[in-house]
Amino acid sequence: MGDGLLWLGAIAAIGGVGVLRWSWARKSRSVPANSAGWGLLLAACAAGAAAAGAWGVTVVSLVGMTLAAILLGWAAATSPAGRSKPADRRVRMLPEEGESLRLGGRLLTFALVVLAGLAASLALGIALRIAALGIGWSEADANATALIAVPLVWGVLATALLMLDNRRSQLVLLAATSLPLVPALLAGS
Amino acid sequence: MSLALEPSTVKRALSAHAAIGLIGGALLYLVCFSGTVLVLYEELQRFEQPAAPEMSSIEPAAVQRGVEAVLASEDEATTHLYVHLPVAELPRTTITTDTQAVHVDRHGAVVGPEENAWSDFLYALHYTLNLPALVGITIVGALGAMIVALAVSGVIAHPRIFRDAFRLRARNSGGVALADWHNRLSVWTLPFTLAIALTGAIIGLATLAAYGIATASYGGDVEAVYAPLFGDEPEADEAPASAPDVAAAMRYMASEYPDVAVTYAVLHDPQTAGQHVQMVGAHHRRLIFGEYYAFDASGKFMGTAGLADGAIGQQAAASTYNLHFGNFGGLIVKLAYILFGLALTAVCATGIYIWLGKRRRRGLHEPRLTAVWNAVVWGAPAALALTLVARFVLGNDAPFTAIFWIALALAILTAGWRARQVEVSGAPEPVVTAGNASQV
Repeated sequence: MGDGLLWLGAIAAIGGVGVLRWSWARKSRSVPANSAGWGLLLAACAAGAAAAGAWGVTVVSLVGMTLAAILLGWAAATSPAGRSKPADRRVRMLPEEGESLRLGGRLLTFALVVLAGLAASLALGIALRIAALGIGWSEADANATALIAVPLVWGVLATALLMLDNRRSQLVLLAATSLPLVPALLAGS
Repeated sequence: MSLALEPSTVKRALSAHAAIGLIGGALLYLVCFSGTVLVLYEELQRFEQPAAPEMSSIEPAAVQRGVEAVLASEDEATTHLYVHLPVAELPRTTITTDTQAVHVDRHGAVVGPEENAWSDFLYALHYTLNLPALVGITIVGALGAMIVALAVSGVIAHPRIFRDAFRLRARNSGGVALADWHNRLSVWTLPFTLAIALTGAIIGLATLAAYGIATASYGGDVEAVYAPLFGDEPEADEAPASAPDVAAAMRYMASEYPDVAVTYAVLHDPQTAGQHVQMVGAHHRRLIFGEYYAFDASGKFMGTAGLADGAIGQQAAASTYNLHFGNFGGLIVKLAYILFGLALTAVCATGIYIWLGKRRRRGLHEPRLTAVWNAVVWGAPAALALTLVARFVLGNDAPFTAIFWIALALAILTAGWRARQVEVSGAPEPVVTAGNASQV
């Protein structure tokens, strides 16, 4: 039963990637075709999970990604020579002629994202742990939640902080991320 | 209703993506590259010391003899003793204490020292960038979190990233091919990237996070944070005792858990009254690195830690290692990890080339930056290859860390200096495309 489901999951993953390949190559967008592709990928994960839990999901995901890599290799090998204009969106990482380096501002941004961002993520992780215990989770689940949340929150927070265009918004976001620690500590103590 | 993102949001996401990628730049590349090679850690150890005794299994009595022989050879009492038991990827029995690591043969006789300093150097390069442990692992963990950020910002910054997921204009010039490779490899390795980055960040930042949790909730006791996950250490008792009965524990595992592959026997505080033994057992088709089976010094079974069937948090915590290193499905999974690891490494390398190309097309030529980045991209594998040559020419004691970092630094400095000379002489800057990156 387990092996059969795992094979079914692998076939669904291959089918999902194949259907998306076909669907995304169409001239017009097709919601049913896209849904079929994503649905097959979802079904693949479900079959993998039913067959062998997280291990099964991981294995069928690797099967899907491997097929995608093969299709990409094929696309690269058969790609015609061309001369399209590349996208030249400026990202403002270094100053251009006549612009100031704004070194102080850049260092402050670095400190906010790296140091303050990590501290805020840690605060939220601890708050989540205390909240998890508060709703009856086991100590193991609560501690694992905190350990997993810290890097995940930091990754998302770093993106959000860098997308905000003024300091005030950045500070508000950092405060909002950190603040749940206060009531959590009060409730926890 | 449209789900399309505002152009300003897309633009800001691209800026965020570039900022993280450029700041992390070389370190991200090094961690991804070294991690890809490290997938073959067990195989590399066999390659490094091919003459070490190998066996498909070992008798409990032989392990007991090996343990007692190693304990007798210790000048000072070791706090832990690890017996690596033969498994398919590394069919060797190796005993490691606080001060030594030796191979034993199938009869339990000590054959000679373990000599895998190069593999361990590679391990340290990936784990800590060869820095002091806490600093290094925290930086590597931070890089993992930043890869998560790069994945999030990359998806927001490219609204057509899924629709264009198979559009690879590999023979287009002017930066299109490079951008396509970067975006396509990114999107199709996204599940792998998120899994690797998040598990790496969890492992790397765990010490710091545990310290924070301990300070807030356990009165500063960091071990107490891990105890609900991996089990706690019994009270120490320093009174002398004879070596524990590891053979009895192994026999119990073979009779009561025949489907569990025992990978390690861990002796805590051996030859003290407080000693105890843990067997690490790998479970078929599980992501967990194993379950801890606890035994007392006489080999009496005391229970399991619950990594295989305990709380979800325990199972998740125990799954981070195998999911990160790709050692949960034999060689085929390892090959898939190498393929996707190479893709992730290429994504790191091409990201900087794309940024340099955009600046060049706006008339901002930076030949030194380009040369330095070329030196990082090609110099790191070359420096690693040099350390491998040193391993077989100079031996196990070669200074691998110094060789690697000096070679890489020299490559970068030389490239920057040569580009400066070219700049002064007025020769045109070489242009990097998807096709000629290695030649440049």
